[in-house]
Amino acid sequence: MSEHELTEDLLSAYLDDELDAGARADVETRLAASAEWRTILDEVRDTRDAVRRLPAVDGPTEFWARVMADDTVVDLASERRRRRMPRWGLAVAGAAAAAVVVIGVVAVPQPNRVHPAVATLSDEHAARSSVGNDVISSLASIAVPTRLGR
Amino acid sequence: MKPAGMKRARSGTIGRLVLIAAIVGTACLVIATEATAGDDPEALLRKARDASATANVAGVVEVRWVDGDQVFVERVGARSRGDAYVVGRGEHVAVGRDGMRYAADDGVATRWGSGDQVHAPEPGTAWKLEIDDPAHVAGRAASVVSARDAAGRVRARFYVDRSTHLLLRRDVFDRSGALARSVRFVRLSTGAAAPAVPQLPTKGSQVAATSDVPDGFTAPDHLGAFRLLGRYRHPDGTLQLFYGDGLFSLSVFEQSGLVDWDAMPNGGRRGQVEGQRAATYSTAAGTVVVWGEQGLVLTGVSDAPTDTVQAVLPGVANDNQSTVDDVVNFVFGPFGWE
Repeated sequence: MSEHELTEDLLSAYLDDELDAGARADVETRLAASAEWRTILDEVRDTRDAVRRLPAVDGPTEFWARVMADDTVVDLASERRRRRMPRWGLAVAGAAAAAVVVIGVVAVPQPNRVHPAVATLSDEHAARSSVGNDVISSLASIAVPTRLGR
Repeated sequence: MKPAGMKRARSGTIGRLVLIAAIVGTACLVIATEATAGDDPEALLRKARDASATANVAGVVEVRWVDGDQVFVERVGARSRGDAYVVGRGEHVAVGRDGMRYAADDGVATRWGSGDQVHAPEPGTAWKLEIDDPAHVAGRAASVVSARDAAGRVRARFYVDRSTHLLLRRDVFDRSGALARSVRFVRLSTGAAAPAVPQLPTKGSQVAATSDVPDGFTAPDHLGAFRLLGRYRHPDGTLQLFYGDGLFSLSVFEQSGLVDWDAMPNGGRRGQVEGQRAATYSTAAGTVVVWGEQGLVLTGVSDAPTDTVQAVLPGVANDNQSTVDDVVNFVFGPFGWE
């Protein structure tokens, strides 16, 4: 006996490839057994395709205000997603996503960008080089202003 | 019994002979010493180094260096009294006393030399040295030492004052024989009244000699003919390795991270070190090469010819130090052994 009662919504989900493997197999079993439901499936498909071919038209300004004020209006796509994932699942997924972001930003060390101070390092070298070598010729290169562009 | 006058005459003759022999012997010794130093380029360069540490000097030094097709020339005043030195003035002054060095413009104030146990190689280890025809620098007669590379090309010349043994001029050449960098006295007086040398800042000494190489950093004992002479830790964590080949010196600065190429100064010539992007700059102090490898930002600075520097730098990130060396360093590191 099938676990799913065949409805037009279920057929719509079937056409949108939104069913899991078990539900999909159930629907296909029922369709194979019933010519009437196969006809209904064709009608749902035709309706869906017709709607998708409609041009996009902006509604009047007050239309969306009325829609949003009506508590009976339901965003079907959101409702469908909500039904498929329980509230606790959303919370866990949200927490996991947040944790990934935190770990990515805080815990994983970001590469340190360095631009060596060429003039200063050049002087540091000359200063060290002057110890134990000819002092004046080494210090002279420190006393000369270093000209590097930016 | 001989007369007293005859005794006095004989002893006087002996005394004169001894005196003459002493004078002649001393003269011969001096001549021999001068001849040895004059004929031996290594001895001449050692004398120049020693003279630099003791002479009283007042003069003007010209620094000339080439960067691409540009030639830079700067002149600075120089004074020294024994082991105290002042070169330049105002913001651009470098002061030295003992191992302390201070540069006003960038705040370098460091006591160097402590912790150095490794002696530099002899000057002729990596270069073929020979005496050239004498020359004159700043109106003084100079002996000239040339340094040739393995291909026989003259890569450097050193002019040493015949009377004081001070280094009067030092030229470095590129592979084609063109002058790449030169430091020389254009005016010089020696032995004059001791010039005043300012006191060094009491603060500073921020760079410390270290026997420890942090994880992820590298410190090869040799880079080509350059021998590691000292390791230093800077306050910002930069590790400085100081090398010498007897004639030239090389510092490698290591910083953890990646090169921020967008923030680097303009003017660097683009190239590669070990297949990695690199930029080469020319400063009064020498060649500066910046590149990144294995999570390190590496900066090599050297007064050696540029091609010599570029030839040895790939060895920085290829430290072939053995496990035995690591163990020895671990055991003796705390005792300051190199």
